Amino acid sequence: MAKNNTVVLLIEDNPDHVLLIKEALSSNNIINEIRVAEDGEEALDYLFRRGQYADPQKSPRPTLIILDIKLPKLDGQEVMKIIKSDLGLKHIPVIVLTTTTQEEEIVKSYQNGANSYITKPINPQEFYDKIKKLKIYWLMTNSLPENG
Amino acid sequence: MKIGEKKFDEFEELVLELDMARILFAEEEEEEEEEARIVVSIKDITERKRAEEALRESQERFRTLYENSTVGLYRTTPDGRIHLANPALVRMLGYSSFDDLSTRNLEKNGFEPSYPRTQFVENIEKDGEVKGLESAWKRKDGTIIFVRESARAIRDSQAKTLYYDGTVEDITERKQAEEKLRESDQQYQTIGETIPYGVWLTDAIGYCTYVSKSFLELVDMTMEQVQEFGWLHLLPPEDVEPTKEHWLHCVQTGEYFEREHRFRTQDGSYRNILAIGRPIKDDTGKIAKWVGLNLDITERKKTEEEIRKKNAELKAFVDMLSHDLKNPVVSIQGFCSLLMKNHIKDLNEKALFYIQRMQANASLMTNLLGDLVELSRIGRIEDKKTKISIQEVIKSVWAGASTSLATQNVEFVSPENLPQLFYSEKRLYQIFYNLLSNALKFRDEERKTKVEIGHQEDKDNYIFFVRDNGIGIEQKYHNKIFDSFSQLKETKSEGTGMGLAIVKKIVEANQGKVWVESRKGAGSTFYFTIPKNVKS
Repeated sequence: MAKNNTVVLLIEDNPDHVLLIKEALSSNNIINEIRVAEDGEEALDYLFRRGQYADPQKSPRPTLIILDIKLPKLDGQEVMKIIKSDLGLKHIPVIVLTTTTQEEEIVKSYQNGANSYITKPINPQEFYDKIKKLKIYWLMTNSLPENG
Repeated sequence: MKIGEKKFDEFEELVLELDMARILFAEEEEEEEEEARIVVSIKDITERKRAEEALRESQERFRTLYENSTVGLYRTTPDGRIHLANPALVRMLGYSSFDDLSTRNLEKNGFEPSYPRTQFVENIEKDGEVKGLESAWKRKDGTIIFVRESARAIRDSQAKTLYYDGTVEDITERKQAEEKLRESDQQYQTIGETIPYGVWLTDAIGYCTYVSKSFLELVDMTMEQVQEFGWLHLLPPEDVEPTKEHWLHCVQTGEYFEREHRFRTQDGSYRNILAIGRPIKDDTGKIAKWVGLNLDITERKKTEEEIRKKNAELKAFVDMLSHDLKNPVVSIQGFCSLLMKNHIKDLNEKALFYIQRMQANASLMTNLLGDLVELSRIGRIEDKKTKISIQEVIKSVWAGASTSLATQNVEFVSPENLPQLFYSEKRLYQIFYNLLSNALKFRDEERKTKVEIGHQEDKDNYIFFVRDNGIGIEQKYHNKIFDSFSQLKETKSEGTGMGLAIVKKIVEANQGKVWVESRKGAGSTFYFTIPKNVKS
């Protein structure tokens, strides 16, 4: 069941994609908040509450992380490795959402601990449907641990 | 007794035979007439008789041996005359009889110029004998034979040479075989020299016994330094042990040796050498030695490395295309869709049309990107091959076409009994899909569209075809249509122009051929082959 304080951390550098993903995610009121980090380093600052995110009020623990692979500063795969090797973070599901369809990228993602790998479809309807399904599965169908 | 005081052999002997005895009758010299006496001695010569008999027998035996020997026997004189020659020697030299042979003088003619008799004479006069001297002799008819000769000088009490007594063995066959071997050795050696890093030999336990001079020059080492395991020092230190281990493994097991070395050359740089060695076995099947070849593959290595780099660059480029160019298209499509969905009442007909055109173009760009990525991947990335049913593939191609291409009112014919074969299912799908979509795209509006898929076979290939009754293609374009981005402006199709290029690339990457038979206005048939011997 969806919790009333559901927070999604969207790590995505393309502002247009941020808009489109937000649009698709906000189709109903499951999600309270969508936080956006525009590159890998900002994502880690958020998760480890450093710099501008030092105040826990500004960085509530996400219920779900949506991660793009090609990111400025720190690559998505690196971000994933760090999340998945941190005791306080590794339980948070990380969904890879990227345009890359390369086999090796998919394999690497799962090896690094991805919970799911979704390619961004070019067809807008498919795109919308996929995001919606993602949300329904990970936030409504699937049971997640309480955040520590 | 006066007589008794003289030497016995100074008298003329008169021999009378008496029973088994002989009476020796000696006469006093005539000057000593007055006291002439006859002395008769009777001597039992049974022993002598026996000795003579034995001698005769022995002589007979030696005569037989002399006559029948296969080795030539002779007695010659220092001035070149032939005193004796047994039949074997007569035959050997091609004469009909000894008399015939004895007319020849060895000093004048008899030796092949490269083997002068002076050498023989020199040796025998110095040492009193020659042993195993090999020389070339002329036969009667002028042909040359090779002989092995041993002889002894027979000298008188003044040490003057009277005769040479010798034996002669015809070694022409052996000599010719040796000559042939030497020639072929020389040939191989020459071949070895023409290869920059040359050929090599080792003994049965793997010790290097020979390398081409060309090799020694290039690595600036002597044969002494290279022999046994000396050549190992030419390798980078970290390669020495593993190479030695592998080489000894081959030597012990008889496995073919094949290894890429890096040899240090005289200027200190390393060259990539492919060394190949094969064991040579003796009659008993035991390895007698190893022969090997060194091939300088440095240039090939460099080219390979370059190709690898270029491939990596191409891959990076394609990844960039598929990711970075796809992102903006996703955005354009997304925003168009949002406009159409959420803001449709704000848009007039013209605005709607423009949005539709944007969407169509974004779609085309998507397809172009997709095709470009595919085109670059075919042949560069190994496709997984499985045993597939052609029938199933065609079924799914038709099903796929029906959802995205206009297939209503199309007569589609596909045979029932199609072979199963090893191929990448995805690639075969792409071939049929592209050919089918072309057939549907370039249809002739004047008649009902008919598309037929068929199959033939020859000894080596499966041949498939996709036949349509569309607008057809002029002969002069039959090759051009398989180039990337070529589209003949016959239809308002929004294709990428890469369909046939993709088909060609897939087919050729799988050792097949693709071609078209077509006439303008009379439909087209596209053929492609799949070799039967393709392995999984």
